Amino acid sequence: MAQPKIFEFMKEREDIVREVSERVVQEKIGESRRSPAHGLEYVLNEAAYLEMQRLEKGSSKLDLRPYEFWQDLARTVGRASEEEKIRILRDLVDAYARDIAGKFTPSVYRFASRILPVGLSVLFNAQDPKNLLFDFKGIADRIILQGEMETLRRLVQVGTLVVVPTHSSNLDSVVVGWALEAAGLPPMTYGAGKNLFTNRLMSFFMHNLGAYKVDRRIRHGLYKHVLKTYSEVLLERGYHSLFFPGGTRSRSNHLETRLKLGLLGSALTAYTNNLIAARPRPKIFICPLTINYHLVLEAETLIAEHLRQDGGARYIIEDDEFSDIRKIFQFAMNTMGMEYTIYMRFGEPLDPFGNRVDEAGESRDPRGRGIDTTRYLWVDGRVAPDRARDAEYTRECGRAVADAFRRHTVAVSTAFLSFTLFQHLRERYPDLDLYRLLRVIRGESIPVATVRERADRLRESLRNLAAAGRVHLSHDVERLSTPDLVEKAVRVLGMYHATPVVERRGEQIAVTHPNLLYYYANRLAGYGLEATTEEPLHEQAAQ
Amino acid sequence: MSRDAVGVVGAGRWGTILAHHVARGGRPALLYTGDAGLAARLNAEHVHPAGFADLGKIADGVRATADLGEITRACHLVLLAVSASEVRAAIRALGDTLDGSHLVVHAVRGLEPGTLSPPSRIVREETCARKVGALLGPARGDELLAGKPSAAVVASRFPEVIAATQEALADSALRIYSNSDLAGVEAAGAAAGILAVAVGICLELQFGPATLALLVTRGLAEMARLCAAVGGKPETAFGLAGLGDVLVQRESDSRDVRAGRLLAHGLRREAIEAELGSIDAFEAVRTFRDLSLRRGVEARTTAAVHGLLYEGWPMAEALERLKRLEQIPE
Repeated sequence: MAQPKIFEFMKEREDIVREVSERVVQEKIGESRRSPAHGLEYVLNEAAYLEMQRLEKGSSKLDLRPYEFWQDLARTVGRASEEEKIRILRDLVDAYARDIAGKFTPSVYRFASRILPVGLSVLFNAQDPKNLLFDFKGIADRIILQGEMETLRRLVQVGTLVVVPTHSSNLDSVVVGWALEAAGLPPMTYGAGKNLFTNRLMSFFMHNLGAYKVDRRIRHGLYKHVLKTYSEVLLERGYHSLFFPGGTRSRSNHLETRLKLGLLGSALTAYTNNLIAARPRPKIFICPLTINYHLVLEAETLIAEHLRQDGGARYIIEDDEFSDIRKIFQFAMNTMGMEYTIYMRFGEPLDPFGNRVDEAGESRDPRGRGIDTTRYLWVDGRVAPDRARDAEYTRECGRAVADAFRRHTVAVSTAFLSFTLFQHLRERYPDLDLYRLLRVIRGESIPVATVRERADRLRESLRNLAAAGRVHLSHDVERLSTPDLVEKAVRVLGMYHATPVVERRGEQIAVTHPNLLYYYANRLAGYGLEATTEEPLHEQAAQ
Repeated sequence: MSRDAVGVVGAGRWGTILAHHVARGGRPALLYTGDAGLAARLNAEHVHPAGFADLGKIADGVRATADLGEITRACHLVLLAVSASEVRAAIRALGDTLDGSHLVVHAVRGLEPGTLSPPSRIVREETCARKVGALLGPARGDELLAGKPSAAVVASRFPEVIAATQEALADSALRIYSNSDLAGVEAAGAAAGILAVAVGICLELQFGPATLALLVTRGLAEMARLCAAVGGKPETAFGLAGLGDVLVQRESDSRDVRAGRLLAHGLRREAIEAELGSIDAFEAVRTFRDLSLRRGVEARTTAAVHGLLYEGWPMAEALERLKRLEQIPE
């Protein structure tokens, strides 16, 4: 196999930064000349206004420009000549592009490739030191890879791959990094929250492994434009990429359905530009990937954030379990030593229009007929961009990714039991809203026999869904007897969190952490499974 | 190859009139029928054998074909004018030759029986086409032929689809409004038939104008909820595809309204369809009843019509249930 493209990154880095800067500046100048509403003064004013607003709440060493810079810009931009505005624009865009651009150091990658599996394996076996000597289980026993790996290995030979995983934890980048290598796929460039670069060790690895910085605190359009263009340029040059299209970790543990389309849209733009420039390998393939944990490191913080009623939910959380190395170690110690697995499932690849792609890289319609995807981009018989049209294509693609997330989710034992219990309790208190329900069910017990009976029904429904290709089942959910499955799930749900999610109390299962029960149950919401454990909706409505 | 012609799939009354209207406006129209004999006859005589007395001679610019491939080769814009129950088969066949550049606009009032899928979703499920739209609203064949002012709405999320449809169909008599709420327009178009059936019942039972006003206003509120339930905008119910269609049905004593009249006389569904032919609104009633139950949407008018059609409710019971509804804020 040829050396992965990313190994050439440092040779091209300066050129990439220049291309990004130049493209953004030219696009902004072009927009400003076409429409006064997009004048440079407006662009710079918006940036200044939103940055001042942000910096008033506090600055950080990550900021590229201080509050005073923006204040000065806001005061003077109205009087500046067009040339002066272009100069300011160019400076800003260049600074952002340089800040965003990552690095890739092959030696660090090789080192990380060797050390990561060992490190993760040690963590997985750490609960009982004997295991390290006598029963050492490799990382491959702990992370189960499923899905379309063979197809993806072929596609990287004929086009550029964009992997789009579900996002539950900051550990996702680490396990995806391992998974890509284990699946025989090349390393990829990916966007990582700039806040993650504050950890020196993480920063060293991320900086040198192709991560580029995404400062999600910056809300103005100019920065987003630079970021999107950076992604486009990388894709056009054939760098395989990784985005988390949910934008941020799922707070509630619901599967992401409303995806951030900005970066996803860069795949379509890159494909269009490749066609127009007649590049040799123009195709871009999008591969959904689900990461299915039994337990999530940051679950407590995430669900607490989701349930905040004060309206102050944070988009960026910097003080969660991931920022505490002891917590990560505790997570590893308490969970990974057990028979515990992470399921990672690669869905079927898609083109930027949301069509399925076959092993040869050809797009197929739902009936399996081949598609000439260049036709989607025709304007008067030629490939050309069209903003409104392309935004709609990207929405279609987002819908296809969200649909793939659902179909390729692996129902694990913790989600299975949590869903069973939560539905039961929801029925027990049908008139309570969510918040009251979560308060009331703390300490509630359910007879084990009842749980098993409900679990049987739920499993039957899940099997039907799985047979129809609408979900996948973990080995435990598929094969264990119901009593064993329930017992194992209770055990796992009691392993890591400071307060167990549930506890076995004689012949009862008691809910000890309702918020977490809700969190883990949410992964199976949206499949219509509620109907199997609740009164059928139409009977309720008819009453 | 230029693809200036407008394709029309479905050589029933509405499809033929649409093709005729396009050609009258100066654009060539290619009319598809699966019946090669019919195509040959239309081309030879330019008169539809089914009569359509008000249509008379079909415009010279209309050419019929039994080859779907010819439609997709010659046309950038393809209009689909078939019944809700035929739509999947037609779209699937069309999918053999469609490509991503085609614009597919359907004029189908109704959702697919059983799946509850709107035609636009069927296009997505069966073909590679993405640029999809719906042409619905009060425009009627007889008024179009007579050149009387009327209007329709074309809904699509693709501005190109809207522009092409307006260019092909709009003229001094026919206004084509645009709407980006495709889901809402399709739902309103399908649900309007149900309300028209209820209007027919109301007229036949000789309730007064106030009762009719009550039925239409509350029926529209119900339609708005159903639009929202399928992901559309509630306000779309009050536009051309919803209210506009109900008004034209009432004023023209449409087949749906006549079906309601027969229902008021105690005729059963089968007997009504034997007399009037297949009624899409009857299938829509089932669809929306199912939808309202699944999504927990209150839809009392739909429930009452469903009770009459499918649950054997006597008329008195349906009326009594509607009268007993609790007093709620408007």
